[in-house]
Amino acid sequence: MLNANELGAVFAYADSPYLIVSAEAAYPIVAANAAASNWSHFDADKLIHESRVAGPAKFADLLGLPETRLVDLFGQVISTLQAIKIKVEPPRLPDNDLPVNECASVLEIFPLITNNQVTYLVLKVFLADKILPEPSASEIAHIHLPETQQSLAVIFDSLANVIFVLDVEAPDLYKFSYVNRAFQVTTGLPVSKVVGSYVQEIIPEPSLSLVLEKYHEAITKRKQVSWQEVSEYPAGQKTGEVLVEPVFDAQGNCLRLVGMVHDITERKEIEVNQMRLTQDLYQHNRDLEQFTYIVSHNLRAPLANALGLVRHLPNMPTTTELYQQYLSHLITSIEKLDTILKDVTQILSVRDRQNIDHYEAVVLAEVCEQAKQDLAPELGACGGHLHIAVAPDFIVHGSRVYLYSIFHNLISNAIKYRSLNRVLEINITTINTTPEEKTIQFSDNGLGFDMNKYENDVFKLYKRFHHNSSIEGRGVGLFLVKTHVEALGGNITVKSTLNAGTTFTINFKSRA
Amino acid sequence: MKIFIIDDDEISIFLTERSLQLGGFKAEITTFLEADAALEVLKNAPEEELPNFIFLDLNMPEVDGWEFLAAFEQLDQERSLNKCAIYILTSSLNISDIDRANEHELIKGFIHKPVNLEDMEAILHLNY
Repeated sequence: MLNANELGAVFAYADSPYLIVSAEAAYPIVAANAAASNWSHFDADKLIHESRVAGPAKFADLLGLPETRLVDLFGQVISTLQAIKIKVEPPRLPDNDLPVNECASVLEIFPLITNNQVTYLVLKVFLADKILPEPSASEIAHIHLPETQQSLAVIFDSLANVIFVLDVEAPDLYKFSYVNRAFQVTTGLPVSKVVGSYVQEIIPEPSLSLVLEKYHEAITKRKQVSWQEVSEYPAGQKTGEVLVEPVFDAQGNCLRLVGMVHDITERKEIEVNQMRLTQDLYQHNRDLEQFTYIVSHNLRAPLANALGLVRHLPNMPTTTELYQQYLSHLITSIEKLDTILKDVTQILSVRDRQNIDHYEAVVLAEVCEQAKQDLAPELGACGGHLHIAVAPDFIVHGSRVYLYSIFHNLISNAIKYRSLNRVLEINITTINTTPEEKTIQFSDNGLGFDMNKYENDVFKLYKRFHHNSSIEGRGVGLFLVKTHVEALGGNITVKSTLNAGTTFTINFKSRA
Repeated sequence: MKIFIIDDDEISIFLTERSLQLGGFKAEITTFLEADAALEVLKNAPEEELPNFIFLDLNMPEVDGWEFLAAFEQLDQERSLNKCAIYILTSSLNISDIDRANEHELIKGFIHKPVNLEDMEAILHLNY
């Protein structure tokens, strides 16, 4: 027969409150599960202690039954060896707002029998409307259970948690001697296949090594061991909280291990999703913070200039050449302010529209050709070549305007930052096109940049890497390219070698 | 007296120059749009050509103000540059920049743009 700890382990994670009571006089509680603690607002140790001190009075109160009535019921179960169900009305406790504690609950008392003697009573409390369609006229409903050992199996099969018993045949050799129905539901392995099999035939690596180590620990430390594990079963990947209790004979040899698994796969999946969502939000927030910082910083520079210039003006004769110089600088500064505000408006409008559905099937080759035509004068002026090797059926689902902007910006950049030592060559190719993913490569043989120094800054707003004042640029182009690519649901990366060229890789996930 | 202004913004240079003039600095001012060029001069100039003051912008492409400071400290090991008083000029209102500037012993002060006459008069007063 199982001892109280093992019984406790079996019911530990059940949703309904379970109390296990010794069948001896005064009926001390020997185990209470977490649901029972929640329901009674006493932790298990306190419940156990109270019942040792005051007998069944405490939980009779909790159940809303007179103590004598409860003792009678126990006596009845013990003498008849039969389980009983009774409708109870647990009082609403002052500090307990759990709905479970409202009226129309049912108390069920099972006998656990060894050698024709009741050793333990299992008390279960559950809501009546779930089980009993109508409260019977008589308060007590008798249930006839055929064999009590069998009734234990019935209880185990009714639990949502996996229960298993392993016989210890030799050190580190364990054979399944019992598994409940939940084992089959959770793993997808039939009970008939599991019972009689050795652990290593059932549990796959890498869980197996972990499990064997934990079994060993439970046996050598002679105590309950619990852990979390992730395993691949026919029913899919499962995450479980496992608890194993060793059972010893009088000589102290470990005979078997009683185990219980609480399937927390769903909870884990939710956790992982939440984690991903949190990371996305965090990243988005960081982007926005950085955007705000950069914008305020870059607005501040021309504003500070304008302010400084204006402060000098009052004491300056208006007819001087110096005065004209001040005015011209003032105009430049204010125009710069205006440009930055326009950039901000443009960037924000892309972000705003990110979630609006304006998807169309865009033929990439057409967009590239259009950008090439529009930039033909600039390309012609520097003698550069643009080769477009894009399959005519390469289609991106999204906004044509954004896609055009991406290639217009990339081509303009390639022209701007070309090397004067060689003829500019730009290549647009598509590679690695699978049904799931589309990849575009854009490469040039231009000035390039030092990846070690600038890798993290390439796509940042108002970052520039070339001081050459003959090259016009504000550091907005690549930021916009990235913003547009992301608005289309893609991502962009860059590789560059100083004085050799730059390659951008754009990935688009196909839309189902 | 010799002064270097290192700033990638031409209008900002113009303002700093004008403020120095209006603030009473009688100085020979050399301006640099790129920090590289200023480092080159500092490396090779004879002692008497070294500036008494360097006004340094922080936010510049390629070699920025911080990188200039690192290179300057390196150069200071090779030849003494301690006659050069460095003042940071910045439009940043970021407190972490000020903290970071305080870690450099060579930095004599931190001036927020726009530069005003009072700043310049105070610097002149402090040094002479």
